[in-house]
Amino acid sequence: MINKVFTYILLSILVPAIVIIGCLVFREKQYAFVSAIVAIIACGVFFLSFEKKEHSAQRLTIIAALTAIAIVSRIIFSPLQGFKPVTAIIIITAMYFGSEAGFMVGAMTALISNFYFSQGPWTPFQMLTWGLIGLLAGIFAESLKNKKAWRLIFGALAGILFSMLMDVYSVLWIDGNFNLPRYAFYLTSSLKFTIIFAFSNVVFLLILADPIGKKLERIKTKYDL
Amino acid sequence: MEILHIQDLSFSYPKSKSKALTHVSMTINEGDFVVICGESGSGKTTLLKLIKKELAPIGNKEGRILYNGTEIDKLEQRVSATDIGFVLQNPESQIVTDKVWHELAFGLENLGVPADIIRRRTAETASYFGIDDQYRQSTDSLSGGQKQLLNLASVMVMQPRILILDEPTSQLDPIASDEFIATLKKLNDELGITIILTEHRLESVFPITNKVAVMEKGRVISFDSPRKVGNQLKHNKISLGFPCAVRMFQGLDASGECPLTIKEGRDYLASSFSQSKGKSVAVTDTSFDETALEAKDLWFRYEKRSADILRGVSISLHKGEIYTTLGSTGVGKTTLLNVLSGINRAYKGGVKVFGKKLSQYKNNSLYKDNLALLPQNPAIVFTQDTVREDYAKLLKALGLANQEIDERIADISDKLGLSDLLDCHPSDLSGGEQQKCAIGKTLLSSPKILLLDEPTKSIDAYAKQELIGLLKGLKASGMAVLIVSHDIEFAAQISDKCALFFDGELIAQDEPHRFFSGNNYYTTAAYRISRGFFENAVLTDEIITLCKENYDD
Amino acid sequence: MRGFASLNPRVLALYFLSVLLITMFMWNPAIQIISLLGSLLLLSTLTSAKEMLSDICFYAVLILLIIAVNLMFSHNGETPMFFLNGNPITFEALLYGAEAGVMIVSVIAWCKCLSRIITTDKFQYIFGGVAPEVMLILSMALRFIPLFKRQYKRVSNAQKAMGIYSQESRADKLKGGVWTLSALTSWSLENSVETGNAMKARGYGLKPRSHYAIFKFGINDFIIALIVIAFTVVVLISSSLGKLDFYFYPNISGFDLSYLSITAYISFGVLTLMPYFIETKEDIKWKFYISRI
Repeated sequence: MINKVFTYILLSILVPAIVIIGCLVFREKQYAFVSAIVAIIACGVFFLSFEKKEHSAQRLTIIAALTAIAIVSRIIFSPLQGFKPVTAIIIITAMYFGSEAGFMVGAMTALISNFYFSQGPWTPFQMLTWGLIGLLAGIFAESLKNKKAWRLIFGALAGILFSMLMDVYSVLWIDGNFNLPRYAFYLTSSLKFTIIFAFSNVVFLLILADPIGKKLERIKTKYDL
Repeated sequence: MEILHIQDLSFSYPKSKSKALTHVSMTINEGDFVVICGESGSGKTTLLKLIKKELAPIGNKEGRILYNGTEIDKLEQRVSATDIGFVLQNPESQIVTDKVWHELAFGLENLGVPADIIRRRTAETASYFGIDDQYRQSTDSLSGGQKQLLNLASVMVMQPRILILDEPTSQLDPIASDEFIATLKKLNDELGITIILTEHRLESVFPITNKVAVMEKGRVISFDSPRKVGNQLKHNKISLGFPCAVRMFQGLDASGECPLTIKEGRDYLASSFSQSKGKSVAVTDTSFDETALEAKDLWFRYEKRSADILRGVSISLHKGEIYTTLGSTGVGKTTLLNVLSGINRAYKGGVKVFGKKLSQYKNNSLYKDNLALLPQNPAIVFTQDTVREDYAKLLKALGLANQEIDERIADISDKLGLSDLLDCHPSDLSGGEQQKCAIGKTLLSSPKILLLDEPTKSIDAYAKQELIGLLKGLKASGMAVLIVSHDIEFAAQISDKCALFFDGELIAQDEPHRFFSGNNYYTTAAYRISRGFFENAVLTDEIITLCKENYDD
Repeated sequence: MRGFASLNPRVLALYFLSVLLITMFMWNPAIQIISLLGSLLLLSTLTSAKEMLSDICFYAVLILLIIAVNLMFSHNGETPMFFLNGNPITFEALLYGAEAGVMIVSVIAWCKCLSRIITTDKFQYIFGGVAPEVMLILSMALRFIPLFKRQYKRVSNAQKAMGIYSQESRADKLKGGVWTLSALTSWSLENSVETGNAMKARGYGLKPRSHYAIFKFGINDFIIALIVIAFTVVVLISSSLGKLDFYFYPNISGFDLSYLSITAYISFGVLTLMPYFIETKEDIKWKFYISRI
């Protein structure tokens, strides 16, 4: 208990302290700095709360397996350039195993993918954004499971959200503050990517939600998870 | 000293009417090496899992299991985790982490052992099991046999007193599995650890155990020393999986001390049938007329700069013929099948199916009505949630109408006796059942050539016998069957022709009797026993027949 | 493993954190150029000459691109070079773009070094103390990926041999992919349940759990960590006192040349060049060692 209180006090002092000192030191780029810190802390807080809870061995292995499937699925569909089912798999995971699993699979997928390509300042943002998509999908799990239309809207929005958030970060980083014309430029230059991304989410949710969902449901009931 | 005591144990699964275990009683002493055998579904795995609290299935349990006088359920978690080690069947799925050192440390981390002690214990375990060279490697870089040794080592690092192993060698090739069994014997001899093992391949296990438990339909029908079990269970279907020497002894209805090893089998023949020299099995060559598949001088490699895997393979397979290619793991037997079935393409040489080149089969017509391939792990051919749906989906993809689909499924399921399995989920089936359903699936496209990759891996002796019957049936109806396998006994029983795949080539293509009696090391247990007494006897049944003929003389 | 990469991973993490923090968020051309130099030197010890060359070409193109984009959007600055569509294209904006480009390229280069040096096992060690369960998931996922990849190949061969899809049209590819993924998912979920059993059998879930790693913290690690911290603090103090401020708009400010700021530049220079020196020192030592044998 004392340990817990201590952690919270430490966190509530440490976090603002980092932000304030950062703003003082990096005056010109304080927005970029704060946004990076926010992303890291948001992931950190989520991971720590995950650590605090007890998880069965099976739950951990299933989260790990779904993360691995999300990553391998990129290779399976590599003949269809740009068409990746990763986000769809994260959303389907969240639909059947809840927000927590959704966030974990999303964030871990981003982290591990970057081990294969290259880590970069974008890593925490990708982790957070994919994590959030999983988290939100878990919150709306029931409506996503029951209504196909919701699923498709959610998939499209997830694709758009992903691009928009990543572009916000790029602008902050280069300009030091939010430069609207530049943001608009980034959005339009990544438009093709955004559209393919949103469209592939919709397509994959349409065709994967049932077969993959059935398998997740089965494993859930068979092993009482 | 008694270490494990099972007292009148009965068990049934929640939704099942019949009992998985019925009144099982057994006493196991410290330092015992017990092998449990029986058909799959006889309750072996259930029994093993009930001893390990963490893996105990949910269901209705009566009777007691006592470990060192304490009931398993009341055993402290920590004690159960350390004292009772459990190694599962599949080497791949048991590995938890990505590095060898981490895998070894995992169990100790769970117990909260301090880091410096973990360092010491993982170090000594790694060197004892000879995996110290791989300590820093990733677990995925190990071979199948090394993986299973790593699994054993990462259980042994926790210093258990009982080691339970559930068919640990069923996924390994013969050499790796002999090595694994030898390691178990070493553990038993040098550390005095108690071992309880279930196993399909009893040839090398029988001689080194001191107790054999035989299970049938949830009951223990015999629990005694291997020699006595060999004597007791004559004319029982169960003995199908027993070592050749034991089966020979049983088949001859002999009395006295039951032989267990090849050497003892030879001694037995020498003492009982010394005047039988010169008797031989007649070898008949079957001739086939129609060639189904023909390949000449195939060369293949995966990448431009990698080594050749096929170096001039030539083969011809006829209608109604069963051809078996033997060879150890990793020499490229699977690659050979992939090239013959058009999945990979040879850079030199060509494959002809019914006189037509592979490239002349357009739009998948090769796989419709002509050729089918069954991969090594049958579980991977299923994509749907029941076997029936899965079959239907494939037939639909092949372009059949609904009416035809139902007829075709009914036809296949009658032929193979699958009707009870059609509505099951593929993953709920046993290894043998999965195998049967997978063969059913490959037959859906009514092929005339069937290629099978390692079909006896992970199925028991009884399922193997059934498979032999099934394949012989297909052969009689004119199917051409090509098998790659490292199961020598199976090849000897089923083939019209055998060949050894070595160094990228097929060598010594011959009729099985001549093939196996021409080999010195790469041959069946029956031939090793009968060599010098009889000619060409490569099957246990052939020895028995020849011996009986000698009685009559 | 040798030289710089063989330092304790936590020290390596501290090093990269500090260098990246300064490079990313400090707005000073001298800092960025020092950083770029340091990152490229370190990268040269980690990659082949051929890869290095193609990387440098990529970086150059990237810098030019960022300059171009900046000229399009930023018309601040007092020194117009020429006018495009009535908008001034200024010298300041050109330099600003160059500065941003160098910053981004050096961050990318540092991150590439980081990816090469902090491998997954080191990453697990760095965070293993704070987030053991998350790192365990990472470890398991890394163990599953090669396994699933192999299994995927097998599944897709099996599907092919059953004549299900021919890879000819896009729709076929998609359908084939879905079937393969579907079969792979079934198999891997069953597989992971068994992995869970193996974990339980080895006592997973008992409390308290300990944490083991093969990395050690030696005296070398301690010294390097101290150096990193000291030099970073010098830079940060200098920056927070405004000594490292640099402006491009409306006109380019000069560099501050006080003792403190010069110390900061030197500290950062030593910091960024340190790994390269450690690597080359090791090389020289080896040559010397071999020549004596």
